[in-house]
Amino acid sequence: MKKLIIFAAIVCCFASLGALSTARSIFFADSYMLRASGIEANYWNPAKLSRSSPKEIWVPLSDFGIFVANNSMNLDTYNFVVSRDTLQTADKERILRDMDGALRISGGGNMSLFGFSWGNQAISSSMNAYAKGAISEKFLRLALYGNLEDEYIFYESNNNASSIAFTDITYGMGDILIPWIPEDLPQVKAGFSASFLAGLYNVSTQDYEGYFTSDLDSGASFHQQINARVGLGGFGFKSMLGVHSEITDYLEAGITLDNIFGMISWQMHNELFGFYATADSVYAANVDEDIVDYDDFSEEIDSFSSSLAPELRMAVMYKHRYGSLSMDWVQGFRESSVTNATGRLSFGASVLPTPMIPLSLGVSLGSSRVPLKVSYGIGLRIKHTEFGMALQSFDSIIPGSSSKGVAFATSMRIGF
Amino acid sequence: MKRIILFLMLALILLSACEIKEPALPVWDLDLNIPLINERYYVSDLADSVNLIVDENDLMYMLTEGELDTPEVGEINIYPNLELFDAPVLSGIEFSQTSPFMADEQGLHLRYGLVESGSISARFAGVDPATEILSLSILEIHQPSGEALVIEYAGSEEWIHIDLAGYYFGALESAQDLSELTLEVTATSSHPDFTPIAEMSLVMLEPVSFSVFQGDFENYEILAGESVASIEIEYPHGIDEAVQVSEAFLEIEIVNELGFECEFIGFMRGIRGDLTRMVPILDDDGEHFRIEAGSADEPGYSNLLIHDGLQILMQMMPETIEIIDARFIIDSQSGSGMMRKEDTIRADYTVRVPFRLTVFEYPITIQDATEIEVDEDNRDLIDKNLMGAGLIMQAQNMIPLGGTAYAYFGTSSDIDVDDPQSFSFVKSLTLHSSQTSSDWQEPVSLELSKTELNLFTLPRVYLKWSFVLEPSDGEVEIYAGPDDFIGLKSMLHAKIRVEDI
Repeated sequence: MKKLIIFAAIVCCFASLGALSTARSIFFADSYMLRASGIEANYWNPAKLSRSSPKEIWVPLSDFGIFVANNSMNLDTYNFVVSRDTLQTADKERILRDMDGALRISGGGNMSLFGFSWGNQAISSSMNAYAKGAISEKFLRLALYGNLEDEYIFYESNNNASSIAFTDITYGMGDILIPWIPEDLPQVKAGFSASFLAGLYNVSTQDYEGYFTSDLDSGASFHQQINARVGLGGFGFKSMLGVHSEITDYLEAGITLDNIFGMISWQMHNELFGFYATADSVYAANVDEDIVDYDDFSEEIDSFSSSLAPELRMAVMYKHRYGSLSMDWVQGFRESSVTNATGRLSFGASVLPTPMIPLSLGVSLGSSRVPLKVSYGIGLRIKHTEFGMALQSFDSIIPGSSSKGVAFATSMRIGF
Repeated sequence: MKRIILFLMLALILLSACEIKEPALPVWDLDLNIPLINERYYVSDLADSVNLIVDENDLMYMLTEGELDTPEVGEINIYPNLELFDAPVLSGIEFSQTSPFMADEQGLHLRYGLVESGSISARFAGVDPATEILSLSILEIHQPSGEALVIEYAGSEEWIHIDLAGYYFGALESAQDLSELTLEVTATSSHPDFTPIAEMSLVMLEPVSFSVFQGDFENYEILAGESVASIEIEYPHGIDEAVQVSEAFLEIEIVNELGFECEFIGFMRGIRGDLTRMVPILDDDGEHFRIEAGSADEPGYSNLLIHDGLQILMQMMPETIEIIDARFIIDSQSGSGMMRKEDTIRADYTVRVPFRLTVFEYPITIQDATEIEVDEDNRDLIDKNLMGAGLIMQAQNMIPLGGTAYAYFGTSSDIDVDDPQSFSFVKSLTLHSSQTSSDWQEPVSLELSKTELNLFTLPRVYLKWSFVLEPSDGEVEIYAGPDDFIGLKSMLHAKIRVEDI
């Protein structure tokens, strides 16, 4: 039991860190593929590593992004709940109404460790952590209403947790002109990046099943069983291929395929934790008896791999003297700790009211699994150095009390 | 630049508008449904092998047992009246005479006996010096060897006292009553025959006690000691009006060590509180029972079965049953027999009341209220966290007894079910008998409001039960077999206020 609590604490702890491709993508709500240049192109589209670009360095920890979000509770609801003396039925329904089966919490973070780009090449390192978890709405209904129904069945899809943390050392090369394209057509450049991944830890629910029943004939029965796999210390690899084309002076397009051969093999210490508790046909009259059968176990297991699901991204961007507009579509091929199988569309805009002050706006449309995200960013650009910060709101256009999550990012780019 | 400042201010306003209140947990109510019980309560579990018994046909019956015995009969006394003074004794003449020795109207006739205590006295006076032999023999008094009692003149003219202890009177198994003693006098002297040589006197006036007595009695009464049999059942008030028992039996097994047939006289008395009811112990013809005589080898055994009157006695639901004024009488119908002083009469009796009942609709009230102590932790929980409670119950009654149970809750033990001022609230639950339905009955719900629950914030609460039985359709029998049970399922429903977690 103690190990499970530690496990849950670890998950919650890392849920407050960040995990994105780069922190600056928060400025544009992930509509960033064609905006990334220099070192960041390593992660977004290495085809954009250009020989004509200035050299750039990453100051350690200067790029930092973090987010935490959930699918149902916003600040308004939180303030409402904590300010109430007594929760009435309508209040309880307000808490539960957006859960859609489960309360899902996710969090993550990313920060730069070092980076350097020169010409069409770049090498960089960043640290990533990501966590998500879900608890069934039925648990919360039990806590708020009690056991009004005879049967509650809990499934793994609504009761799970996973977290992963890793660092990468990535090398990328771009600006590779694809031959055989007629000269009167826009030229297409390609690039690639390869990342060595050093895994710090991986925790994930392997199996979960649970139920709780109570009726006159059978008494109360419950069963909870959870198995979780933990891996500490691993290494892996991922790669990205990208193409990019400046279709006109104002229009760019690009496609990337990320996480090719993406995996981390956990080697150092791997363990399977399990816990179960079960009681059958319990009546209060015989509660003095030894009615609950429970046990926990942990056993070392062989090394295992966490695969990073491939992700396809397509983007276009319209550029103007005073700004730009971009649109990205990203589609993960399956669910993993860092990817969603549900596609999402995001838009980004950059405005330059003055050359020194870039403003940014991003909107990522929500889906059944991913909330709406809206970003606002501001920067300060002085010669070859640019510093910026951004705030992102989940499920609310304006960051504030209606937000179900928030992300914050800072970014510093130094070119020379 | 102004636009930049405006934008920055707008962003700051947006962010500062986000008020995040201090975490505080509100209070809310939730409903807990807790399965409480799902059990079968078998009638056979009521059997305690003491007062509630199951017979070979699984019929329940109430049983109480007691013992009765007499003290040892002790010695049988006779009162002799033998006086013979200064009878002349003639020399050379052996003569024999019989002399009555029993006083009249003693109510018994001796045929044979072993003397425990008693004496006889004789004197030879005026004895001529020429007397050679002078003796008196009493033939019916003899030693164990059969040698008759002989009293000889030994030179003294004082009274000679003979202790009769150990002597026997009469002959064993004699068919004749012993009412006279045969006296034989032997006298010789140097004088011619028929010469008076002495005067003889013989007296036996003190009672003679026999440790073994054979004979008959006209009326000899042996009293039994007290016998009380308790029934460890606390009857609720009104049970005698609500339930009518159909029959009851008294069985008495008597072991009689006396060699006499006896008449048994006694009464069965039941007591409950101030109520007393008494019935004579008589046979089906209304006569006293006569019990078998014992023999020399074994006691006599009698088994008496009494029906009449017992139902009336047991209908009062007695707490104690006793046989009183019990006595055994040896009378002229008993004939001749033998008894020893250590002989007794013992009796084991059993009262059986089969649970064959007719049930009436009449309130039954448990006399004493039950005190329920509520500890401080639970009082606080009830006060703060328990907003309401209820009990959903479903029953299957396989017993032909049904009724409605009323639970009266109050703050004092002086709960009067007829006085609403004496209790706080009452809850009732009806269970139909198997004559109505042997299937699971419709679930019933007992709800306790917050006001009613607040009663349990007191350190002590009192509960008094009252029942009204469902009238039976004729006579019902209560069996205690594997199919005779009450099945009960219940679910506790509680509305809990969650706070201070």
